[in-house]
Amino acid sequence: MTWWRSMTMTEVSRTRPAEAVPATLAMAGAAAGENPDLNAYTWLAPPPEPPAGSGGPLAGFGAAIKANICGLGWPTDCASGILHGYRSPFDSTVVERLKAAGGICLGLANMDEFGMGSSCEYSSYGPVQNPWRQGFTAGGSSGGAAAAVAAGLAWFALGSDTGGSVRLPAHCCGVVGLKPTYGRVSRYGLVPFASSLDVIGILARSVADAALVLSVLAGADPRDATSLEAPFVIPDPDVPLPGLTLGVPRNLTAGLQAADVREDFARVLAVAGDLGLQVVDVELPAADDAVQTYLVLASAEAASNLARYDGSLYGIGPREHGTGGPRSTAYGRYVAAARTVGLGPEVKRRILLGTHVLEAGYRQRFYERARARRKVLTDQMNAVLSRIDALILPTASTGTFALGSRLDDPLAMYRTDCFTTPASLAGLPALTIPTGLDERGLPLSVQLVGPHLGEELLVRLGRTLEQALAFRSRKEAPWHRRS
Amino acid sequence: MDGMDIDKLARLAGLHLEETERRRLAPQLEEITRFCSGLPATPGQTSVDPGDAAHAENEGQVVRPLDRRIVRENLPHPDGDLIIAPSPLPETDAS
Repeated sequence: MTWWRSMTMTEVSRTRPAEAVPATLAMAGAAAGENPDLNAYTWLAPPPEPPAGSGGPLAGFGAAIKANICGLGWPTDCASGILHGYRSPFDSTVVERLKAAGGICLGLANMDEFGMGSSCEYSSYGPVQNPWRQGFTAGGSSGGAAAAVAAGLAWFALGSDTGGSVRLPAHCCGVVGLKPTYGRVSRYGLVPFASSLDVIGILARSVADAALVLSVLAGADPRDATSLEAPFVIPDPDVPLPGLTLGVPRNLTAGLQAADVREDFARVLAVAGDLGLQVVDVELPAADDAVQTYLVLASAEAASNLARYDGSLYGIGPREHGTGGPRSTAYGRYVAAARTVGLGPEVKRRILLGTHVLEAGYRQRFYERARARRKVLTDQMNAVLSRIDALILPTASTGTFALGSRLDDPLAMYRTDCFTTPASLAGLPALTIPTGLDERGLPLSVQLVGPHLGEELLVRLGRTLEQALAFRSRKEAPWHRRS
Repeated sequence: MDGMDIDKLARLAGLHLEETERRRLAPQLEEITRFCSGLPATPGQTSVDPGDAAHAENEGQVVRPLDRRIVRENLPHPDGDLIIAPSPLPETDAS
């Protein structure tokens, strides 16, 4: 086994900084050889040039970038046929900042098309395999990003989280997933799915690594009107954690069916108690409807955002697929032909749903009601978080699941997001930490949700829990044994 | 789907559904819509039933929700407006 598959960036920076670049080059080579089996990358960058300078907090470390984040010349196609052949003419803000910090892009990570999915099966490149066990999903939609990190084929990865798309893959692949507060990281250059929910997040091997990357990415950006003047400073690891109170939203966790998830969560709460953290029960009644609220709002925004993909300005047009004539074809038929061929089944389902909930006669019953419900949930979460320090709950109600097992049941797939959508709707930061393995030997995790701009607190809490749970020192993805 | 015509919905969304796709999607959308229709009304909200006569004349209109400023500033192209393609949805953006 090669050491660079399991060491963290912070460990390497501390103990063998000169080896970061050679390790990243070795990682790039391994990715080229292993990606046909894992399918974590949709595109591998040319072999990276060693960075000219030695400076920067990410100097020499290679990252997987989700295929909906733009980089100059990259085929940022969102794993969609409708953007086939598109090359981005610019760098997103996060890629600019990553490069300025000395980071290297290893390639674009596979994903559910346009970020719509919880299993990374709705990709025009085919499903991502879970590095813990082939035949199981890597979670979605940032499944390729999480799989690359878990398999040791990237030091860290950038993903996007609209309703749980960083945290669920982190849960399925046994890595750390950080969804920052909405606006803390610029979305400029992130292809939008649902603009009021989309957040660029981080997948990493440890909480400290995720914090390091966030310190590079966070801060205001004049090109994103929703970005916040809120840079992130890594909290000092030597300052002891004060007595904090964690709240368990019992109305959500009471229904946990899977015994192994229930037992793992109880164990985590016991560990938190041993650390001197106070654990109390809280109620978030509006979170019971979070999946429906999210589904209506995200689909509505997606239907609007994806209206621009008509095949005329980039990506495929009907002509490329032989289903239509030249561009003088009647516009409506031309657009329908391009979208019918270029968009996948889940994206079509969401666009149809989004169109329906916005239609006159239905808009108030669905869209306006969901908007109001989001406000109620946000108020409830903020009120609870004014009394306690953070929420603690599982990331998902089960471990990962077999590829194909939920494809014919979209509602079951949507319900996968029941523990992750509340933080997304409220725009709050959330951190997923691997905790243990389920009865099948596949990863489980816990999720911490903090107050607005409470990432510093989440990182401190997360580091402490991570150390106490010692998941990474006990377990690693079997994929590592390949070399 | 509450009497909704999936073909009309597809037309509004700029999609053409083949028969097999239509047969697969229609029941799924009905189930999802039923699931979402369980959202409780918030006090003070007006409830409008599907097919309400007051809305009949607007049937088929889709009001797009997004603040165009937010959308424009997050386009995957630095020249912004260049890729705001003519929308296959009716242009009734209230924002």
